[in-house]
Amino acid sequence: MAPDGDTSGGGARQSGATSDSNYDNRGKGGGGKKKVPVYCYQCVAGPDLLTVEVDDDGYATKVESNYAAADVHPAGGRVCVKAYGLIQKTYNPDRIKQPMKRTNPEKGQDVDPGWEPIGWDEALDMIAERLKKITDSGDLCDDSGFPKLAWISGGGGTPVAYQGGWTAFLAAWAEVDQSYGAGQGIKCTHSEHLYGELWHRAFTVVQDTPLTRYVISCGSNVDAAGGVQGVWRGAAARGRGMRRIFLEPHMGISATTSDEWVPIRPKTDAAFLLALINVILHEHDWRAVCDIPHLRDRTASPYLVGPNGFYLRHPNSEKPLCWDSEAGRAVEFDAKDHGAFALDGTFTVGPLEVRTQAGTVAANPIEIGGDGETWTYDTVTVPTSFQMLLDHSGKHTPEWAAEICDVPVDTIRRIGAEFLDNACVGETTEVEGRTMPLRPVAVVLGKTVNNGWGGYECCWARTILVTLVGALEVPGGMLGTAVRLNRPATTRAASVNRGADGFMTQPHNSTSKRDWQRKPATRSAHTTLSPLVGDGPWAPALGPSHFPWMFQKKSPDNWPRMSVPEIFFVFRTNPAISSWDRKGVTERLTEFPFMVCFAYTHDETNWMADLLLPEATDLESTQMYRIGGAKYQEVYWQHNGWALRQPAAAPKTTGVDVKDMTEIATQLALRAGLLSEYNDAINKGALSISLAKKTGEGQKSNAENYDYSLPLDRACSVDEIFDAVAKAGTHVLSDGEEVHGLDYFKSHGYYVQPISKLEWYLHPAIEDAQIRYEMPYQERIKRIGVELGNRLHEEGIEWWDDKLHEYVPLPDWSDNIPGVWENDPAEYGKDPKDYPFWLLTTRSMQYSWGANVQIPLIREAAENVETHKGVVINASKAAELGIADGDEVTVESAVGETTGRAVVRQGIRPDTLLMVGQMDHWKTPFAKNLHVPSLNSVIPMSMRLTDSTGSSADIVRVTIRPAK
Amino acid sequence: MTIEPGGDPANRWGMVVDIQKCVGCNTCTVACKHSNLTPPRVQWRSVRDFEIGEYPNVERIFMPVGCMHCSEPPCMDVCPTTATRQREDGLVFQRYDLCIGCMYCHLACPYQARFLVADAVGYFEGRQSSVEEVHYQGQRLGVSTKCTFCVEKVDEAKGTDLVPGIDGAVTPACVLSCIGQALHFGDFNDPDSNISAMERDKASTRMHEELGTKPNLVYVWHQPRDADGAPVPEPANRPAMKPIPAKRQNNWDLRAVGNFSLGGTSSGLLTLLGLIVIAGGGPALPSLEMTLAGVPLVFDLYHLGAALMGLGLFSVFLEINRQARFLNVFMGYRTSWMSREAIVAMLFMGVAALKLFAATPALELLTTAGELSLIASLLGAGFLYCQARILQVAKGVPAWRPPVMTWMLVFSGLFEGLGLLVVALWVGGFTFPPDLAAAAPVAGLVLAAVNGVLWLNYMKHCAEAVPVETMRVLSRHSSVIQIAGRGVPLMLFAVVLSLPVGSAPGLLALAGLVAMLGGWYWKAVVVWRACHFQNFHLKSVPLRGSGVMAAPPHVTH
Repeated sequence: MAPDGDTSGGGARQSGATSDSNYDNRGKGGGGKKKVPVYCYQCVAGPDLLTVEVDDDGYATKVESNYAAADVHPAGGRVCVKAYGLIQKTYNPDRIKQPMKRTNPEKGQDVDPGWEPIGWDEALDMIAERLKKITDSGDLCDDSGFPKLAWISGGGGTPVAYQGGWTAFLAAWAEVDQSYGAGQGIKCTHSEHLYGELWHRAFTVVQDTPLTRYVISCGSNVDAAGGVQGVWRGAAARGRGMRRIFLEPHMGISATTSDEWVPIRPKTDAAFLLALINVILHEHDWRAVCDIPHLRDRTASPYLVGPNGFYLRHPNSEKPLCWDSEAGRAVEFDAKDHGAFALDGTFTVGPLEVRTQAGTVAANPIEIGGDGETWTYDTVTVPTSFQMLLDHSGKHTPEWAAEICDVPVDTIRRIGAEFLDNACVGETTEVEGRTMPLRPVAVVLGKTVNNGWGGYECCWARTILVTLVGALEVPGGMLGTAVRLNRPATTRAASVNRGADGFMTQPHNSTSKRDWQRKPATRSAHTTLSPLVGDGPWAPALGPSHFPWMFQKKSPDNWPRMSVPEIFFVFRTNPAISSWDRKGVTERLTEFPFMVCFAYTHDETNWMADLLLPEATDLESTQMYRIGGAKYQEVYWQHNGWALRQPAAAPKTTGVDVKDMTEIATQLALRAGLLSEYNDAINKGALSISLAKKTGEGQKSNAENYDYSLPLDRACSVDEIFDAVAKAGTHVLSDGEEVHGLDYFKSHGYYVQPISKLEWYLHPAIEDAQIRYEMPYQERIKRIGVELGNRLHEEGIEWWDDKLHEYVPLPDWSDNIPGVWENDPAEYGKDPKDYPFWLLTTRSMQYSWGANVQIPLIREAAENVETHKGVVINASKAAELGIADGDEVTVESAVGETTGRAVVRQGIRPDTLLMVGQMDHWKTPFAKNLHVPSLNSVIPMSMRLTDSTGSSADIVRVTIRPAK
Repeated sequence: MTIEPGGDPANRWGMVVDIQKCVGCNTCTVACKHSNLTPPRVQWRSVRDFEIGEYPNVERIFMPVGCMHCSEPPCMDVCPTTATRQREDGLVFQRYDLCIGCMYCHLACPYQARFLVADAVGYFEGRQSSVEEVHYQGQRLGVSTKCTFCVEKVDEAKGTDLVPGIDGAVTPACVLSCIGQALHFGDFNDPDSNISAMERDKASTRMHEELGTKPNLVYVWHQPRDADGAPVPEPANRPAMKPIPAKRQNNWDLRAVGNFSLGGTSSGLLTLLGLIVIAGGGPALPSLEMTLAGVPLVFDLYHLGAALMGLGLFSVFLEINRQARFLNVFMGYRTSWMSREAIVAMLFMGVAALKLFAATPALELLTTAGELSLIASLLGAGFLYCQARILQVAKGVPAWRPPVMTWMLVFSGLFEGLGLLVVALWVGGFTFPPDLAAAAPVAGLVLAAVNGVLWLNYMKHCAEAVPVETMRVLSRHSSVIQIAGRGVPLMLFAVVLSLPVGSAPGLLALAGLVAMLGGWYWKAVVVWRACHFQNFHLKSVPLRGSGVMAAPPHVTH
């Protein structure tokens, strides 16, 4: 099963492209062009490695993949199209060339800020003064309990790879609100993040591309958004004949490259997936086609469910009970000696034998609900979880689903049968000496399918599908990539611990009467409203991150007054463009008393700023960053390591007075009197690695014993800081054998050590810890819903009630899934019938996460993909409406309109319109003249559209007409 | 053929594009731009985005395109300056220092692989960034450019054990950068090379092979097979790839039309004059004598032809981008009809100049006026033929390719020449020689009919062979061309014929004027308006898409 193409992959042998010096060392060896190795993290699938060619005069002229890394990088060392925009990014004549302060206190889209150029000292002092005012007040939080300092960055976490020492500054400050959304929640695969981590430590979910044979993809646009690894591995899989069925209302990039595109009606994927479950369980002999041992031993399928919907439990141990079909009695799920557990059926459970010191006594089984509510039964007749699934899925026939999804009945049946044909139930394969099941099938979901209403149903249904055949977390099957909610984040397996019910533990925000966070700690209220999101570093922005904007306009009933932060920092994001309801967000942006934007060019957000700081950009600044492992989309390295981003373009060539983010952070820490806290944060691991560890005295050189820490009382240089990071990083990786400082990275670019391929799969950890996947029945979620409802009602909060209905143990179809959007115009006093089209958006390889709309080269590449040019409309529908390709059209929703050119295509449903990326700029140079419409201009932001996880979907009902 | 030493004749470099793997990211496009420092909109390598079929039966294709480095490159043979050359290893390249920027090669390439930028325009809404200014490739301004297969990298393999296509250092930038393992480079002469193996093992096609270009870029994709290993057949109801909307060439405009019109008319006239001379009518043709600085000069109809031809050539001179280098136009005489046209024109101009001195005794020692006229007419006919071949060999424009195009231009030239003749005589107030007055309407009738029939033949050919966009333009203009350009003069010539010989010179001149204008009109239509580029097209594509386009069930691995 060697993927073809791996041996012939476009010039596979590397050419040793890195040189041994950057521009600083140039000339010492006789001049000539130098290649400077750096990394690119312009999308969540990075970092990838590249080299920058620098000419004799210090101009960066050319980007190339760092082919020297071909052996260790999972996509042959390649970087994607976005990296090639970095030269123009560096030399863009529209850059902000020095710090600037606003002189006009009035803010607004049509108001000239009166920018006045100032020096860096003045700019930094302005900020430090405000910071000191806060520290002098003695309280980092305001009267509402929210931090006075807020920080927003976009791009799915990618800014961290460019913010250098800022991470340490934020850690040193301690109370920072990072819950302002720039589009996350609605622009990400939000439901998958939460449920994926719960069920299989999968912040994102992909197929095991190198081995898989059959993939059902509901809109997972991996060939545009899966990074170079996603494209590289997917292409190899197609080359060997992997079959992918792609369901999507329009023929996007990955639908194009699939074997079959099924134009499904928007937001009805849940019905399709439920029907596939029905096909497997009710139209095939499930005992013959499913992975029975897996269901019985590795899932909660045999757990008995009580009349109130909670597991039937042992009265003493409170462990869930299963039915021992040989002994004909209920026993604890982890009982030592028992016969085969019944998978299906309904059983009458009477008093259980309980061994006590006094001998064996009879005790009645119990059921424990929310807030400890307990029911005790003498005898009770209960089904297994699996039986409940069987009963639940009976009504989801292909005929039923076809009506909802507009997918032919035969297609649903055929896909179900093909899925089973390819599942290879019973087969095994060996990975690094460990025998594991081989199940080369997967079901993956894209955004919009995977967030907002319907996201839970889709995530559950697809996880059921692969669970039925045992394809979860095994070779060829469906895998997670990374953990972001669980800790530690080092590997997925590291957070696998067995909980009392036999499932993995999960760090939920408590919904208990005692521990529930009544008063929100951040403006997104993630710990209060979103139990599943936890409270890790990523959690605030994964809560309902649109609430800070929404509540700033009007707080809901029985909720703290939404105060604005005294200082608002904005880095590498443009929420005035990238957020849903971007126009509303733009209005809110005028309300901050002191907004500091790190600014590359003017844009729609920093137009409202009080201070613009032009930071050193990608090819001008220094940072050490982790590479390798498994994370995000399809990032599956067989190495872990570190890479350096370093200045490539000589400062004299760029004509801008910029500062490195780390230098800015250090200077602010110094001026605000936080230097020792700042240095301490770095020492303690704020920059991804602790600079000192002391365990085992006397052992001089091992991974847990080193000290490269910075002095606390001195402002260190950028190079000093990252030299220490480099040494600590290589020390830990090499177990102290190979310690390299910054100089090594300046010439080599990166350093890696191999890791086991077994780390790709969670299955070994699950098996070793004798854990069961929490499938199919969601007792825990049901309990959380009951308790959260109790807590909110105690506080008089009823505006979250509709979300509570999502906490069900067996998700079902609801007409409300598409209906909430279909009927939404009525909320604004409009007639839903006047908005007959679904408007969708999709990711773009050229633009997504890149913050690169100002770069003409990227636009040139993007325009080769026709769908970038405007609003995509079905050809027959366009003809019906008298719209021709290239015509100026207006797309209008109940809350706004956007204008651009029509792109008339065959590959889109007649009831659907599509706008790629996030455009409609009015200030950003170059981009503002592109005249490309944006979904963000017409999509409302509302409580009604928000689901229980705190997200919504990138979809809105609209109408289209020729522009006047 | 301008075969240049260079490269090893044992190699035939080429590319394999796995279109099933291409995701349309255009990383290759920008990697090429970085490597070759090309200005805005110049994409030596690019990826096009096409659809096949109609909803709900649709397939979408991302198709990398660029110079195919054809073994029989049509761009090379047309080049009037020998700027386009081919090495012994097949690489087709451009000598910027020779190119005059006439853009003939753009029109000869059926793959739209040629680019020309006339002005130094920067990326930032016209402005150049500092690095653009520093690295601007001035030598490429106003000349034709195209993909080089990164020849400077490929050549670095010489004398090393590095293998182009396998070793990154000697592999073209686009191939090396590809993140989908879709682009591959190698040697088609080596049956064991990476690309030969791929072409052999996979389903494959080459674009526009029927044009005889022998392209060295092969499109491949995974061949689905059934359980017995047999290729899964294509479903019978699967629609073929529809033509992709073609764009009109904008390389040659009215300035080129000026040459085809004035040059065609003048050389048509010259050819007819030759026939008149042969028929013994030479002496009866009018001429004017005047003395300049004591030298008697003779001006006759040949000089009218020379003037018009010169005007036409000046018109096309305005079209070329590197006018200072215009003399290079003669260098391509071995293959280029444009060079030949220019050479013949220069020779004719020389003879026409000599003819000015027809009344000088010195010349009479050398030759007779009749001989000179015949030579001039012969050169005129040569010009007419050379010009008539120019369009037909331009393989990039389907509407120009029909073989009948040559004869359309020849006979239109004669028709226009006849028109010019009778108009000139009438306008000049000359008496028509009686034989000519008798023959002209007959010739007019015949030429009108011949041109009409040729046009019908052309339209019939076009209906099957040119893009719909071209056909739309042709259809719109066809009746005007036929009725006004042929029918009206035909009737007028017939009326003249029905009258006593020589009794209606004005009517004859009117018929001639309409014939001449009609000829110019259709040339303007065909050269300037009905002239869409050959569109991209593959005879077969991967089986994938929605509805009937979807891949049939196959064995997966």
